[in-house]
Amino acid sequence: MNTSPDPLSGLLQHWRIAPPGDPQFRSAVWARLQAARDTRWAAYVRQHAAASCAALALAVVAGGWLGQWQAHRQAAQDREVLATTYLAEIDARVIADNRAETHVHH
Amino acid sequence: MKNFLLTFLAVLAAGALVAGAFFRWHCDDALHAAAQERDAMKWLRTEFHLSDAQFAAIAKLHEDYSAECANHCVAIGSARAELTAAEKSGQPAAALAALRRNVAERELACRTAIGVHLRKVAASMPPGEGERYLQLLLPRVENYTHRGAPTVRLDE
Repeated sequence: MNTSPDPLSGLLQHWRIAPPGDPQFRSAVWARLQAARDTRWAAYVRQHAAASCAALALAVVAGGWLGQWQAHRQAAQDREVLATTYLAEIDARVIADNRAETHVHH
Repeated sequence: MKNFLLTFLAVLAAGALVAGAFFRWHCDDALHAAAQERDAMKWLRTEFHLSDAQFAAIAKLHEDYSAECANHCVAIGSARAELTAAEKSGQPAAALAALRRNVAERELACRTAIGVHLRKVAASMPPGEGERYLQLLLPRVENYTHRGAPTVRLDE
C-alpha cells in the first residue's frame, strides 16, 4: 500500500491563476444576453408568422381607417365652427342674440 | 408571454404609426388653421376654391351687405327689447302678441335678406361650389332658433 503523500495535492495547493483583466467582460456578457433575447423574439415571430402577419395587417388597416376617420371628424368639426362663425357675422338675428348675451353678462 | 407582449406592442405601434400617417395625409390643414383663427373669410376662400377675383367680389358683397345687416340687427334688437319690457311690465296678452308678431316680422325680413345675400355670394363662386355653399348654409339660416338672453326663470 503506498502511503507517500500525493504530489498532486501539493501542486494544487500552490496553484494560483491570475487571468488578465477584461474591462469589456460585463458589457460583452450583456450584449450576448441581449442578442440571445432578440433572437428568441425573432424566432417567436417566425414560429407564429401567420398570426403575426394577420395581426400586423389588421393593425395597419384599422390604423389607416382610424386616422382617416379622425381627420374627417376634425374637418367636420372645423366646418361646423366656421359655418357658425360665418353666419354669426352676417345673420342679424345671431348678432342680436350675441349682443343681448354680452349685455346680460356685463 | 414576454414575446407575445412584445409582438402585441410592436403591432400596436405599427397601427398607431399608420393611424398618424393617415391622419396627416387626410388632414385639411388650411381648414383647421381657419377654424383655429375663427377666420370665416379665409375658410370661404379655401373651402370653395375661390380665385382672387371671386374672393374680392364676395368680400365686396359682404361689405355692401354689412350696412343692411346692421339695420336688421338694430330693428330686431329694438323689437326684442320692446317685447321683453312689455313682458316684464305685465302688458295685456293682445299687446304682447302684437309685439311678438313685430319681432317675427323683423326676423323674417332678416332671414329673407340673408337668403338673397347668400344666393348672390353663391353666384360669384365657381360652378358647383355655389350649390355646395348654399346646401351648407341655407338650412342653418332656415333652422335658426332664437337663443334668447340667459334667464333664471324655470318656466322657460
